Amino acid sequence: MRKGILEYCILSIISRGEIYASDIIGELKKARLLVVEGTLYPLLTRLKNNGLLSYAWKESTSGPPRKYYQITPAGLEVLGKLDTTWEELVFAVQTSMEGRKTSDTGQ
Amino acid sequence: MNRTIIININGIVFHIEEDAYEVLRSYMIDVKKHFGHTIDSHEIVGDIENRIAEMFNERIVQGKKEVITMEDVNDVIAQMGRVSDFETGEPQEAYDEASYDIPPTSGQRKLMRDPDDKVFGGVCSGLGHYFGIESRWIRLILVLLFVFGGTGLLLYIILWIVMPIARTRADRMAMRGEAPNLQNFKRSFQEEMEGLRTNFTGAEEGLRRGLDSAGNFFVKAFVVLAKVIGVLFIVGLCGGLVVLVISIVASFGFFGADADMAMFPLNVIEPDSRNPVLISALVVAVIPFVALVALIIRILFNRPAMGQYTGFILLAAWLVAAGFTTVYATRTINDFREESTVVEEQPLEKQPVYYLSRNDLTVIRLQNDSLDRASRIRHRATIRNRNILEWQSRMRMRIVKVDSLQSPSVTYEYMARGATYELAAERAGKIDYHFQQQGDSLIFDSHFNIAAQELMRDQQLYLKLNIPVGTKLIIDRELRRQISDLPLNQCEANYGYTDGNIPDKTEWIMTESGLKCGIAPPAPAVEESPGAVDTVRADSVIVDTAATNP
Repeated sequence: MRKGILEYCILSIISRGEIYASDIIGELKKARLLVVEGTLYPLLTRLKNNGLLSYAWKESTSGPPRKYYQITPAGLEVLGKLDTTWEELVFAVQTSMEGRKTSDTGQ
Repeated sequence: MNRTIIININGIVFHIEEDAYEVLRSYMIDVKKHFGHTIDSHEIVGDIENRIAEMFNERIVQGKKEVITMEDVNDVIAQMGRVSDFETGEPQEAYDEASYDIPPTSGQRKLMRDPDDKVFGGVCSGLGHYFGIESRWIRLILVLLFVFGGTGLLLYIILWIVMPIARTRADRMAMRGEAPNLQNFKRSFQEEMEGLRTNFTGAEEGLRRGLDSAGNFFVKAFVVLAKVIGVLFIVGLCGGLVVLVISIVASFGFFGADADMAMFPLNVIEPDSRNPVLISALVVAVIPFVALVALIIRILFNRPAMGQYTGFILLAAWLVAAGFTTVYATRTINDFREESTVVEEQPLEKQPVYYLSRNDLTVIRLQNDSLDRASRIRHRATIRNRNILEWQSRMRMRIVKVDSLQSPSVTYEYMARGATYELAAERAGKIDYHFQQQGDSLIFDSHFNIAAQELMRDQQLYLKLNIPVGTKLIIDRELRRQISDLPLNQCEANYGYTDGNIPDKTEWIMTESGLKCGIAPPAPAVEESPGAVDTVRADSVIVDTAATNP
């Protein structure tokens, strides 16, 4: 579940535009989703292998060349589906939570 | 002063201290080993190396230094995360096999325990993979085997020892019978990726799809049937539990247990500890039932019936109760260790004939003039209930021959048990029994009494009635329960049941060869020759004396 959400978030972050791996990490850390960086790389590779992402090497002013990730049309399509599913999920959870709250106050 | 080493990460050169290099090297070996099974490992490790190089670079630029130190390496590793953190960050989620197409199999499956789908050791799920059955059915069979016969537990332990655990991805694929080739490894990855989507759509749908694709109505029917049976089983277990609790509570008089009213299992226990012992025994008996119900619910419906903490609390409660019960049981058993016998002899007034009768303490006799009838009955009943248990405190007696010149007597043998011989003897001495002689009639109480505060410690009483040869005894039929080694029935048969009733009393006589029935068996046939009767009479001395008597 958590892993799925993590991939969903990565896709969302990348869909905003071309981005560098360590910036993705920064975003994820801000969202308190990622604990260590090592977890990110296998996920990125897998998403790339599934054709949802692509990347390009770019020269860096300080240090080695960097991989910049970009979302593919296939990735956008999956992201769209995930958005719908997520909304459904949020609706489902919220609806159940409301029921819980009213039953809590009712007691 | 430290030696430095020059390393090259992705085309960038770093100076690094020797010890820091060792740490970095072992970290990278760990990382490579972790991703070593996958086809993407090269790329992933490359990304990680790249990022490390970048972080080193940042540190050199910011710190205005030239050498990477131990501190830098440790910081970078902490930021990147240990290999063990990768595992927890990316758990190998157990996925529902039903939602995937049948994987290409190598035909050869390995019997291994499945760590992704386990209740205890993953034995059942491993067996399920091996035979291609859903693991819950195997669990159910094992639980039933355990409940009816107890072989399930042993079987499980043996299988647990024998079956290796499927640690690596290759092992898990071999367990499912998938060929360990590149294509399947890739598929395995894709399944994890797919898991992301199926997780949202829900496992229930996946299961339904799997069942539909099997296109088997009978499978569904079987699942429903098994669930119904499971529910019935649980209901049965709960019923058994309720009956158990009620019977314990009812038969031991759990509520407001009156010290005066203690019955057998309770009168072994000291009055003060009766309630704690009862409660702990109840807990010891009930918790396994609850655990079994929870286990069946978990297997059948794939959802835990109780929280982890509840389980721990129940386990702890059971252990405490079992410990208490064991300690108390050991103490009580210890109190039965020594047996002591106290013997007492009482002479009898000599008479040619004794009438033996019984004073039945289990019967309440009322005086005619008693005014307060009800309270009197209640008082007597309480005393009787406290002190007399028909089978536990019954007096037993034997009739023993002594020489005709010796005087008749009664020997009492009081017996009891205790932790030491002294305690046992003291307890035996407290046995209270009444016997009285009124002229030629001997009246025996049917039972002995033990004091109200006295515990049941296997108290017994044997009476020996020492009767000189030639003495006649008229024994009341009521005493047949007390005198077990006398063939009373045979003697009664000799009376012939002329009016259809069993005689109340039988006549016996003490001879040199022991106690004999005083009445001859009825003549076999009236028409028989007198000679035949004579031979019968000549055989036995008793018959002669009996014949001359009336």
